[in-house]
Amino acid sequence: MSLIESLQNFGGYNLFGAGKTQASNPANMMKDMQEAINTMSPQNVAKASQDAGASLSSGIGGDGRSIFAEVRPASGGDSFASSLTGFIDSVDARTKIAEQANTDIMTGKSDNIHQAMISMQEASISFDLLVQVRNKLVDSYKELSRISV
Amino acid sequence: MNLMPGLESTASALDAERLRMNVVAENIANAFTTKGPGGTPYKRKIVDFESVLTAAQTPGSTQAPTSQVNVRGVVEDQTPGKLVYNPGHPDADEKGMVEMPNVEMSREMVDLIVSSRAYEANTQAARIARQMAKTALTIGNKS
Repeated sequence: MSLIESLQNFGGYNLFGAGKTQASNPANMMKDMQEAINTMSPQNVAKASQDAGASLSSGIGGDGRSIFAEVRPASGGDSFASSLTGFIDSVDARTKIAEQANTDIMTGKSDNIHQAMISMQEASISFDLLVQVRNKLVDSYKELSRISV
Repeated sequence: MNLMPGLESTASALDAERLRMNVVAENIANAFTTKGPGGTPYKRKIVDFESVLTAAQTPGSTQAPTSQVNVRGVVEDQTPGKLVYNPGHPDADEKGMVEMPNVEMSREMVDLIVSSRAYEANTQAARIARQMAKTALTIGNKS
């Protein structure tokens, strides 16, 4: 099985909320990724990144609250690249929500300071997670490239 | 699903405490208002909280549904106010008694303290949740 195929084949793992989001918190995501690097398995690395991306883009619950609006990417897909793009889109959406909340406070349209603060923290944490995912992918690539033929 | 644990409940509680604070401030401001828009003296307002379960976020998610605070409404306390003898007052009835609002300053002060401490506690919970998420992200760090 080629590397690309192994990356694309996740045993029927379905993204964007319909599958099992067992890595649904940052600690599990980081642990999965670290294990994947240690066992030198590209499938595990890709799956762990998929988990991170899926749990981030699987929606935060639409209660009608602005900060918890559904953050769902426009199109799904099974490929690794599209899941990463979806991940980036969801981080971008959270950042936009935080910016909008801040603008509302500054123009006086809303006086809900704690909502703005919480949405800013969400945006910052999700961005940190994106950076960590990128770091892990780069690390795994470096490990792979060190295999001597 | 939130990256920071327990954040929906905290946000709903902060909303609710802000509303309670507004209502307490309104009560204190109107503590001596003998005639409201309906012609009756001001009646003390109370907020009515209830807890609702949010639906599970995604099918197959391992997270249990959380309880949020929902404001059922702002109701008026219908206990009659004190009658004060004040014949010169424009709202005095034929016996010279004026009905004052049923706002007790001591009770409103205690509500102020409760509301502000609850707000502080929820803010602290949000802060700790953020710290937990940040700590989790350091698992993958080298060294």
